[in-house]
Amino acid sequence: MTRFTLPFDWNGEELLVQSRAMDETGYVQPTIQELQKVRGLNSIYHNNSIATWLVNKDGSVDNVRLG
Amino acid sequence: MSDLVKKMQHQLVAAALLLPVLAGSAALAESRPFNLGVVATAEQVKGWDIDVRPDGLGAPIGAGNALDGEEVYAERCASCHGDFGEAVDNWPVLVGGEGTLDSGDPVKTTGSYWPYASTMFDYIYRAMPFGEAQSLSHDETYQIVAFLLYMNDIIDDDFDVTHENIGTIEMPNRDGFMLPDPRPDAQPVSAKPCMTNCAVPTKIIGMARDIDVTPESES
Repeated sequence: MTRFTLPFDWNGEELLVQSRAMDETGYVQPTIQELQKVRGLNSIYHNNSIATWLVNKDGSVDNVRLG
Repeated sequence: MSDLVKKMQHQLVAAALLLPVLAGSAALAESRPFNLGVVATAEQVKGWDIDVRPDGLGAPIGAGNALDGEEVYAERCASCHGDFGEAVDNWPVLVGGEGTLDSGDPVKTTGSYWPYASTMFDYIYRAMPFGEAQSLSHDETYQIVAFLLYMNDIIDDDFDVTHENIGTIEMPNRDGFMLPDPRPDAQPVSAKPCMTNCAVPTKIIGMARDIDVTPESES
């Protein structure tokens, strides 16, 4: 896993942030929907799907799921 | 994800980090080019080397049955896991769950889910009670393992679980795992997966905050 920074201008409104990784084998991080298709809804460990972060207007950040 | 699952993951991460450290000290013993660190003594390595493998290899000498285990369990485990393994609050259930794994609400216990009894020893001795890890004796750990196996109807209450037989106890879900590991199992739908400005759903349907899995900030 590589930590990276990607500065951007934030206009202060609610913002959703996602990133998607690709490894040296060409494997691309799946979406949560793609992961659920093969794992079902009860999988807990090794959830390697794309995570979504909601930046709130006050600057706090929440982990959220999109659908 | 419950707090406990996250705590368990921390334990697993800690276990995973251990190997490079040991490998590093072996390399140090060879050359120590920067003259850093000290070579771990055999006794120090022994202190770390507490893993018990599925077939029981590594299990320390000892024994315990459920009759003795009930008291140890009540004293060291029940405050979180309940007198009968039914769990207190959101701590993990340890007993029951048979036949629930393919249901909408699977109850994963050592009885319903775990493939090896030896892993119970490894985990309990290594990590329990939470906050007081490695304070149990070998015999106490065998007693607790025996109590949990008894509560899950896997052994009788007077059966002695020992270093010699812990690798051979037949667990109900032994064959419930997929081999070889099918991961990576989720492949992107498209051969050219989107990497920028992707059209994704933007409706929030769940928040970690709402299911109370995010630790409170200290400040």
